Amino acid sequence: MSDTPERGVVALLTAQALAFGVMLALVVVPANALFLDAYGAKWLPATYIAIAVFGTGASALIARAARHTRLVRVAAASLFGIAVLYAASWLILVAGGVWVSAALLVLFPIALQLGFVFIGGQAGRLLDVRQMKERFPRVVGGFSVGFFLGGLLAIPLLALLGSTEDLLLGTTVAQLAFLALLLETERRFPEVRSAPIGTSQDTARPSARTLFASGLVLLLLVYQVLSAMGSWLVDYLLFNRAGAHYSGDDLTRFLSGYTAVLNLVDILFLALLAGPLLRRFGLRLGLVLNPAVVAALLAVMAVVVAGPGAAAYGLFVLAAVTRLTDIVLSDGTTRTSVNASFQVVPIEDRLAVQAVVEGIGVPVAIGATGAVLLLMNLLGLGIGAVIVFGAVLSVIWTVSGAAMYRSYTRALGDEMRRRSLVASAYDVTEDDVALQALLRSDDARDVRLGLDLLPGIASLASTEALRQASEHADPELRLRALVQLAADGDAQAAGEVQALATDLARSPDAAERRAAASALGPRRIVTAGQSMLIALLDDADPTVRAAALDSVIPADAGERDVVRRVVAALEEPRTAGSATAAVRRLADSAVPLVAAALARGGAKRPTLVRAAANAATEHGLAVIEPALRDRDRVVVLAALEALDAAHAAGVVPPDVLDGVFGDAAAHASRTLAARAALAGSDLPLRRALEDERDLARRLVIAVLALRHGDRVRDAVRVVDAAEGQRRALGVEALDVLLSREEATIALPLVRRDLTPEEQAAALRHVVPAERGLGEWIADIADDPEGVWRSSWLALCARHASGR
Amino acid sequence: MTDVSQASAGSLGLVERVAALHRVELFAGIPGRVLAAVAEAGVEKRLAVGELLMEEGAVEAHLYAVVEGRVKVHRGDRTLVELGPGATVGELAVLVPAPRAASVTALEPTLVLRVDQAVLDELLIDWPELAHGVISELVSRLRATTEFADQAS
Repeated sequence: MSDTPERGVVALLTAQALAFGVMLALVVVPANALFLDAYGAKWLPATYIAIAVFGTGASALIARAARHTRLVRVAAASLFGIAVLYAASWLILVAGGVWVSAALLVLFPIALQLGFVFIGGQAGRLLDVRQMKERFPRVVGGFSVGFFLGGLLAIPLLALLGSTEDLLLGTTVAQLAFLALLLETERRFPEVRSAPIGTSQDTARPSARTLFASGLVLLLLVYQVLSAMGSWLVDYLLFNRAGAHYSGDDLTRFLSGYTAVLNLVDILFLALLAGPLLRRFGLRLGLVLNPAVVAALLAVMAVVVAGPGAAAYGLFVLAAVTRLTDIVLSDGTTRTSVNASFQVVPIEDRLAVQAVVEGIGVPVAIGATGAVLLLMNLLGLGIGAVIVFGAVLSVIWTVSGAAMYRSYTRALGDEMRRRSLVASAYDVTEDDVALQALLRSDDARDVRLGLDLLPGIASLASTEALRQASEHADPELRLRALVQLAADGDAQAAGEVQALATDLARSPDAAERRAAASALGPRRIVTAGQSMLIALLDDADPTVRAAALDSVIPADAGERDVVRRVVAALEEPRTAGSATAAVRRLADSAVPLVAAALARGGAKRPTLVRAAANAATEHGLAVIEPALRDRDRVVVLAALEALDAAHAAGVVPPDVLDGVFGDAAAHASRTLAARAALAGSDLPLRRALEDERDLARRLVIAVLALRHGDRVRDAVRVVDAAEGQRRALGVEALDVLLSREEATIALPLVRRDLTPEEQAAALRHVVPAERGLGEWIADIADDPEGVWRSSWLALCARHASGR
Repeated sequence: MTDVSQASAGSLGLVERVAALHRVELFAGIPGRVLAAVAEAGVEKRLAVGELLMEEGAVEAHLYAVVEGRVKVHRGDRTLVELGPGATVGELAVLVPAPRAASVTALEPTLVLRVDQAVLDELLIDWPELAHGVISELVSRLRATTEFADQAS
């Protein structure tokens, strides 16, 4: 998504959140005032239980609807239904039915959760995970501003309309404004209308058990439940202490002033700190900060209760600070982090999971909090017990946040590994009949496939089929069938192999010589195999040489003539692949020759470097060191990539990797700065600098892959190949995988959606260098400090300067 | 046919050769430092109008990158396709040595760069993504030929 639509999305979602906040402020004031006036505080726990029952039911209905209908339709129908409820409540209240205030108290937290599900659901479809981390705090900020404005509006509205009940008219209007903004968002950004799962014929509906089999989804539920319980306990503690210190108008004045300060701090935190904090420290901090701070403050409160006592003014102040901190961090870091975590859940399951986790988990948590508080009151436990319970709960909440972060990183890794082409294991032993049919076929291609699949199968029937294949007109197939029979102990076949292989090795037809070379693998069958192998390794046809290399076995390690030819074949493009594999089989005996070839300057040959990397898995750093220390970055890259492919990460000492990483970062920074200065000038030099930037990028990725394993390459593959949300997930996966220092260098380089100018700005700190066009060209051409190290780049610079 | 690889007058410098190869779709993704070796090994040829670059049936193992000018690929008098700067001709012969399937003649003064099979083989080993470019090029050529055949029939 480009910047302009992203800004439009954020503006509309913020406006929705603003209307949502105004609406909630205008419902919470009359609902509380009317209920407490009519029934008193003693019935409040009953409303908690009702919230749990109705909240769960409402969320289940929403989740069910979301599986069959588009998000926007579900949201629009729900918002309209709630608006109708507000209007009906006003009519009932005007008619004297004060009992409806209890229903409004129950509706308040349900509407709160559903509103965030709908806003979060839209954000999940319209913003990617990176944009979410950066922009969602602003959306939540709209809610805080709305809630603040709604509270301020209540007083003039009361004066204007005349009674508390009439405030519900304002609530209804704000709810309809929320609905109108949601429909406007759908009109301007139709991509928000993702198809529901129920309309897809291909997708089976996952059961709740399937959804919650995912560790991340389960942890999301646990985290949200603990978060809601913690917040409601903190709420209770504040109102409990405020009630102990104030009464009557003083209590009202305190609550008004406190709410104003709370919303102001909340807005400032969201506007100034939340985004930068999440960008800097990511979800790791976002998920843990809120519970950890609340746990610490509750622990301090427990100490105060144990010392000065529950009546101490300090405890009241701490309760106020704890609630403020909880709300500010919930809005600023927790809510955004939870919404970002949902991005890893497949989009077809996301709304259902989100509705269940936030819509059912939270009401149940509120009910549970009410039940715990009732029980504590019944048992006569004091405020100290509530504080201790809250502290223990917050510690568990913190631990669940850390576990959720780990689960999130694992889920990201799994998402990065998801590939469209997945090789599955197959067992040909179950297809013996089909195999025989292939071997008995008249079509040479069928017989060749049958022979390819045969090793490991030794049924009587397949032996008969092999005998038939050994009489095939094609000498290659005949030889392969005879070799197989001889390997199974057929003495007559062994004799025939010897004669046929000798004939074919001398054939003028390259295909027949290739067949003879392929038959030499099981050397004990062809007695003259050694001399024949050497002759075929010297064959004029590269395909015959490659087949002979494929037949080199570990027992050839003692044959210097074979080993020498194998190492020489590494330098021939058409035989390099087979030679690399042969070097691996020859193990120790080839290593000195490979190392010598590298040291002679053969490090420029990637195939030699690859062979050395394979040897390094057994023989350590010394074999590959000449390539790793080469001045040419291309050679270093070949060595690193070959070591990675050979799973030899442990061979390279960390200081070598640090050196390469630092050099690559500096090279990228320098290259991008030079390219920016050269904008619009000599094309070949600019292209050469872009190639150098790509080289630095590959070096950085190679180092990170050796440090952190395949997950880096999985994520880079996604960043390179995917678009939109999935590409952002790839960047996010790298962000959580890498250290801060690594990410600062790697992310701007890896992201191909950034322009060279943006990359240059992000990496300017690595090598700060302000130079003019001429200075850059002279520096590249002459390379006085030996930092460019590229003869091609120097040539392009000289060309650009007209030298 | 004039082989200008040995004549300095009018011949391209290494940087210009690489820049010319970068304009060829097939080589666009290969770094200049790698193409420099290809360009060094390549042979420039300048063709006059009507001069034959490739003859149908000839067995050769190299392709040509058109640097300047325009050529037509034809069988006898029937033109299959016309190609300009950035195009390549003769890729099939580099992949599978076989008689040329068509002739190529310059339509205007043309400069081409010859790339031999051995060079391309080496490039394919180190830059497998080049194979994707070769396939794309062959597919677009096949499409053009099929469209031409449809129009002709």
